[in-house]
Amino acid sequence: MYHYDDLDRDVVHNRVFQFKDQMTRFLNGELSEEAFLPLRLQNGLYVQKHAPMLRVAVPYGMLSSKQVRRLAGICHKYDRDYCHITTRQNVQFNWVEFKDVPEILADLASVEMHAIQTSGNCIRNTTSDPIAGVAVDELIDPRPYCEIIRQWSSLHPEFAFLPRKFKIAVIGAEEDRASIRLHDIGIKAVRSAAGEYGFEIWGGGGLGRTPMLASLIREFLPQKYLLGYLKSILRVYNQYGRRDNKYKARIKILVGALGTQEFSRQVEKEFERNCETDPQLTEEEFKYASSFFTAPSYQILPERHEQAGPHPEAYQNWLDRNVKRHKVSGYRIVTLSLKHEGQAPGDITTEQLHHIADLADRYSFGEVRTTQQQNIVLADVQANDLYSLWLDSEAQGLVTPTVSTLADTVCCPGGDFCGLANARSLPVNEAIQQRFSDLNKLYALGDLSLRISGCINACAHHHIANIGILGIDKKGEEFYQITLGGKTGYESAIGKVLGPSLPLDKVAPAVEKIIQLYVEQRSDETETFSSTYERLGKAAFKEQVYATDY
Amino acid sequence: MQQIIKNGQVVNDDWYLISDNETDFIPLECKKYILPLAVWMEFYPHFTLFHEKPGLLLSSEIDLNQVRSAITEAPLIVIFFASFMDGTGFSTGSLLRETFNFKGELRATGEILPDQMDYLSRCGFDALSFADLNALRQAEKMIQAREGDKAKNYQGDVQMPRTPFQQRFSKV
Repeated sequence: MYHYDDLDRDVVHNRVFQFKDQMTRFLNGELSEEAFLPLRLQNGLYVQKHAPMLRVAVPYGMLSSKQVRRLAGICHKYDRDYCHITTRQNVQFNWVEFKDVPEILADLASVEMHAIQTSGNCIRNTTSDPIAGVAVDELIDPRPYCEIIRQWSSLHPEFAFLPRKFKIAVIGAEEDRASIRLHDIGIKAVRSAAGEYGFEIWGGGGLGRTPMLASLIREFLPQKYLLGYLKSILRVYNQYGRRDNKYKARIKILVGALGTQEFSRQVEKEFERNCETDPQLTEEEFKYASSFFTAPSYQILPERHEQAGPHPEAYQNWLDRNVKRHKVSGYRIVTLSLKHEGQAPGDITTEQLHHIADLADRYSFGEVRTTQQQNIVLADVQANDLYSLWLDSEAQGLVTPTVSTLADTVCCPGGDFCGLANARSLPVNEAIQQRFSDLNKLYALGDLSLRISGCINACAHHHIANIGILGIDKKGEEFYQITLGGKTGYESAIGKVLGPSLPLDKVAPAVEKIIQLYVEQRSDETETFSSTYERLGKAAFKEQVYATDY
Repeated sequence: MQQIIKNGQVVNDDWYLISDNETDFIPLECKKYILPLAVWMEFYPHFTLFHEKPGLLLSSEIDLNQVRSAITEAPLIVIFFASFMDGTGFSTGSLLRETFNFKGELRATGEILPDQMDYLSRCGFDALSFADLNALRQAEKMIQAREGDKAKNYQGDVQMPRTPFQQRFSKV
């Protein structure tokens, strides 16, 4: 993974120092609340319902065991012994004290971490494929590009006060595990027919109030122009994006208003102007960036060399659901689930963090990934270590064998914690999970995504779930809107609202009815929820949910 | 006389800013003026009444292509930031330097924060005019605290942009 040099350290330390001064001035009354707002947000600090929330950047989801231990230390010293993995692969501390934040940032800086641009109207943490570098279907490792973008976008002088937040994702595999079409800019690393490295550039995607899939704006961009092209897009957006209405300020609205063609034309015009005069990325730089992401020292192993059984059924379930093929023979990709019953999805305790750091050191070259699915991945585990790893982790509640099932819910903290939320999301999830606690019943459904957002900011990305739930406020009461038919991966689609919103106690029964119809109507056990939904149409599901009781 | 920050130092400012509604003003001898675009255009191109060619005040969202000739003529351009949250001016400044090759003084005014000083200067603004004295004093304090030590960054600035790793290689 990437390691800081003097420049990185200087940049982060300067920002810590600067923020400390901003915080002091704010607390002394020398800096107004209004002026402090964008400054603290650009450093990941929100004011929440119960306490300030600090969001820490995990660039494209990569963490070292040392960093995980430091996060554990922060959880213990400054928070309530747990933190939260976000859908942008970041980490959130929900209970920190304002005055402690500069000290926490200094702690983070000592392990090459920061909270820069994890919030605010600026370029946010670049996300990527959580199994980059080890995925079987990968063409190009996206992480060197992510790192270059991370550096380029960090404290960029021109793009720190954009109309609205700006998100970039990069992939290099066939399957899109980073949902690039839901990003302001989505980048897919590709090779041209002539073998040249470059990118497909997608623009104008986003969720929130007006969900839109990004459009292809450049079919092939040679890699040396990456930063010049990003600058051109951002510059067009910074000049022409709307600032009069926060709900119409994302780049998707500009792209929608201009049309993809006109937007691309403006970007290309700006790009033509700068592409030869701006510094371009050199081969040497790409090689240097790539040198941080070389393969670890894998052993030569047969593909199958698991520890001999018999093993308990629970272990077998876990192998089936939470362990994936690796591109290197004899290695596996393990997902440690953060969807343990009774725990909020994505929450992780101090003890679990320590345990994960130990697992990473013992089994996976000391590295860990966070995922958009709010789980943890150990990317390089030997097949013959799987059983020991499972045994070691069972007591920690990290082996819930439900990855990619309905129980692998993506859920924001919701009204229980978040100041923006209109409704709680955690109790909705609990109520649904109670109805699907039987594993056989759950497995019979196959892969099925459920995402729950507590407000229209859509942090849980409910629009791209097979079943999405959105909390809304109706005259002070919590209601929930269901969307069906969203998907991501090989294909992306935005779900459609099923019908009128429902009160909390009616949501889980509605989900159960939806599932019931799917199970009854699917052509066979391999037909996915999306396929069945597309085949039957929305009306059939609407009828199923609303015809009788509601 | 009001003070501004110019090239990282507090200096007296001898330019007088004329507001949009002072359309009937008559320039005094020996004074230097900054005029809003509409007023500037009234006197363009001879500026015979002026002791020195006036500076040009533009709003941050101005379409620079529409004012090409003014840009080439003006000795000083002032970009007005309507709000510190509105970052359009950062692109406007960068474009003036980078694309329009503007070599004169580029000044930011309006709702700007001392905390935006570094970004503004990296976008080509060599002068900053703060709305109140407290902000100016704070900016001065921040400059002193830095003691000429320029904050390190990945991108360079509009005068000398670079890709993130470039400076590391040049060190080797």
